[in-house]
Amino acid sequence: MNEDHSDLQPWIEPELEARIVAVVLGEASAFEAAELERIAAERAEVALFRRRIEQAHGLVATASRPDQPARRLAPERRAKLLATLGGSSVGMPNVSALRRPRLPWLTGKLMLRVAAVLVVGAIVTTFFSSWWTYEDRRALVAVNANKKEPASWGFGPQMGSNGSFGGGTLAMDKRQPQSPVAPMTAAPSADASDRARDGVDLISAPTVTAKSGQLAMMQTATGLPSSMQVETDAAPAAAAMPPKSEFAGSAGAPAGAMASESAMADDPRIAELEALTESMTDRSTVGSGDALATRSDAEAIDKLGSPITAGASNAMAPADYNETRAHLVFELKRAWEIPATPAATQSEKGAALRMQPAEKAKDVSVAEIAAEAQPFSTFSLNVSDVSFLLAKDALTRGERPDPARVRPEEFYNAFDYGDPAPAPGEQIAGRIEQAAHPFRQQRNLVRIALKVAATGRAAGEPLRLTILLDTSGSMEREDRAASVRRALTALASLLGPNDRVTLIGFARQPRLLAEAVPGDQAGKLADIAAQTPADGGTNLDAALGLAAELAAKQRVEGAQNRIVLLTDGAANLGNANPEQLAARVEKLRQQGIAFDACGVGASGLNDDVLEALTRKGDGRYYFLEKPEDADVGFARRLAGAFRPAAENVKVQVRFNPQRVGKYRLLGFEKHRLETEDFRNDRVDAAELAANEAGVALYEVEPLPGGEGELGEVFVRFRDPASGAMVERSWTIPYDAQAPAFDRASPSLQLAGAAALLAEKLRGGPAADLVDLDTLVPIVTALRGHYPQQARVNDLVEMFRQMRR
Amino acid sequence: MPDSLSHAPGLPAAEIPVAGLSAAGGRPSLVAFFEAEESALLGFAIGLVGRRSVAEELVQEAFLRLHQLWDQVENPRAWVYRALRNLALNHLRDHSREVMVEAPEGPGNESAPDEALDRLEAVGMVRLLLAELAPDDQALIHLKYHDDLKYQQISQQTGLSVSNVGYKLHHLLKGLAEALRRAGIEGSRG
Repeated sequence: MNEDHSDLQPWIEPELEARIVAVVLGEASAFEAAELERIAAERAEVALFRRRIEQAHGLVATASRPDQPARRLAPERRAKLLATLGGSSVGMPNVSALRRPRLPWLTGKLMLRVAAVLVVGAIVTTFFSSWWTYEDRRALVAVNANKKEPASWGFGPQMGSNGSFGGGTLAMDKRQPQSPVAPMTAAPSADASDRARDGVDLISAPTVTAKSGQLAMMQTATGLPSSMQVETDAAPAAAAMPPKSEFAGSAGAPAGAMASESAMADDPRIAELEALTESMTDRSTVGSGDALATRSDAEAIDKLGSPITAGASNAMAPADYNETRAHLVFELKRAWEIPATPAATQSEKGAALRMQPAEKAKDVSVAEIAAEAQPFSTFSLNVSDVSFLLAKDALTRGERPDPARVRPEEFYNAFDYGDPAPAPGEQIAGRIEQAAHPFRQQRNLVRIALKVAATGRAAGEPLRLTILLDTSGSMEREDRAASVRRALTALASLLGPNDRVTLIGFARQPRLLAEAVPGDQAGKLADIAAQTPADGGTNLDAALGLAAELAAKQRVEGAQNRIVLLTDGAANLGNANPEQLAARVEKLRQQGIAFDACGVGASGLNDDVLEALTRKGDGRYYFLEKPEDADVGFARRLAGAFRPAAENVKVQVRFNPQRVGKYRLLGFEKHRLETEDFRNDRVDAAELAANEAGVALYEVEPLPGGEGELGEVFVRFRDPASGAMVERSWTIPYDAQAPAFDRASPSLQLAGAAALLAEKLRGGPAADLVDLDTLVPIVTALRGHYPQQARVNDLVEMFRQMRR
Repeated sequence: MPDSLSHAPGLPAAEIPVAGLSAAGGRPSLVAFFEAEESALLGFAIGLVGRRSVAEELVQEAFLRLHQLWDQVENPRAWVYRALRNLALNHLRDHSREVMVEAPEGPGNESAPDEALDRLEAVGMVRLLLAELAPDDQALIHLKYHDDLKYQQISQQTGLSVSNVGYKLHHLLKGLAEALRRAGIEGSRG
């Protein structure tokens, strides 16, 4: 039942659905069945739908038959119960006799309390933790959502809404004053709220656990020399979760598993993770894998005969070109040496025959490289968007762009992904993210983004910082107060006279504590914060409103405009409506004001809300577990981005053969370098202009049974200010829970969609795998995330034109 | 609870073509109803909580409660499935922590394999959902699955056109599949 997530299910024509149902119900001819079999083989969503219908069909058939053998209550219990049921219906003395003291949890009072607790707990939890997933999902599947069945089916009103189970019990008791449980309706409310808190604790505990893995990762990342950000959409702790069965905390067989299962049952992310896992499983049934790809690789070589025509900005020196080419030929040969499936071997011959020496070895793009044979992938980080613009023009004219001029790297480098700039003092920032490939099984898309800085803060942008400080009672805790104080002090130490800081405290009401304090006087902020008395309540919504107002007032073009929220968050966000908060944050982003959140203290932190808010706000989510975490490194991160520039930028990725089977760099065919050229500074490479980021996209086959990380990224460039060569490296982590493409971060989706469109335009084997229809809803949804980038609109338009 | 559970207005129990409720001329006695549903409900409960002793207690409790309300509940079948499921979920919720540290109460061999439990639960859930369908739709499912009729025969019996039968069954199954999926994911939340 759980094999899919219909929210993500592409729409199927009703008529086709009806045909599928007819086949499943045995109403169709063999010819029709075969025809549908063919369609199902081509369209994953059809196969999925058929599987779901088959499952429902099987279950309904089983449910319509009597159980064999029939189950009976234990004889003694059965006899007593029958005696009770056979008697008059009201006020049976036997009733109490049957309620054994062994079962306190079934007695009315407890029952009622449990119900009340769960209702409250579930409402609170769903309120805070489900909305963002819903938000995300809604954005992705807006199209499908419209086509969904009306919800009137299936669950009655009672069960249809989250967290209302047990509500039935309540209702019954209220309506039945003569029932023995009725007096319990008036359960002491203090009692109930105690239990309610327990319920909340119970529910939120696993959330915190789940997050701590992620946070640990974030902290590791922060420890790196350069400000590296590892993005993982799926909570890593998912691996530790027991596989959940079909329904509510169902199979309780292993006691421990059952417990954690039901404790976690409230977390919508679990459902998401399941869906994710399942969609990944589903993918494995799509397409026929390597053999297919490799065979079509060979065909592509056949098709792509025309010489490389370099775009204006990408012309290479002939010597370099020859070198590169020699390397490509080498790589290509190595690629064919991979033990191939029969299909591939066969076509390999064909390919070899056609690989005349005179021919350009340009198809390295479609050949996967075995990490074992060639662990190093080296290229010049050449950033251009020419190919993208050309293709856009061609499509606008109603023509297909010349495949030879389609360069995937110039597609996915045509966008500003909002990747983080390096912290002051750092010269380069790296960001690595990954998600499952939408069309190729067992491949992840790995996006490596590098953004360089050249000079120090003097040349940097001024900072317009608005700090929203939670001054609710729980923030009074000594360690939290210390964390806040340290964070503010560290931040102040990094600010200059051109920077302005506004401090707002908020509890039930926001209070302006300091406005537009020049950066060199920001030291007093920590004192101001310390003197602000703590108060009850947490009205984040009002606080955000005030912050937005003040930030907008202070906003300066060309400055870093940011709002930073410092809160112990969570449970405490009170009556805030998460959707409303998200809308506010989104509006801020559109005004050019970024939103960061900093969680203080581990307990009760509403990770989901904060994280989702920062994602909406182009910001980052920080976390201060202990006062010591609030160091200068943290403050630097807050202090933001500066204009970078770098020369001779080369990237080398070393894949770990223990963890990576094959890999493929998308694009950069003309910019690839010999492994040993990476540190040969006489070999020229690209330049990155001020504030420019370079992105590389890989398809990687992670080996789940392997060991270690996926690999390491090295970047080497010359700092034009000092003339010195700078080299940095980052680890590409192995992510066993890489999100499905439609749940990946917007930046990865955008890069992936652009690259895949390029592959489609280029034609050949890689193109056959690309199903534009699947990508359209994702790309369309991206417009909302990048409202100021006309090119995202262009991309959507290009997808539309391609489908004609 | 009668509000929400027996929401099919004026459901004529006698028309529901299921065992236990098919006694001509009105609803069966509670005892007959119990005997007809006992096995299916017990299976559902075992699927939900995983342990037979607990499942029996839950089934007993569900019927005791139904007993109190027998005269008011309009759709006892849907009601008792709902009640049982709520009880089981409450039990799981209430006992999640204890169970973690305690050994299972009953003999060790009492637990059925996970797959079998999942199946029991799924079948129980389908029965629950079927019980909540409109009577016409229940009848259609009954003709198709219990009587194993073809669209054509169903058409003759019901007076619906063949294509209408196909359309209805299509949407019934699709709705069931969707409701089951929800029960698997959102239902676990309550």
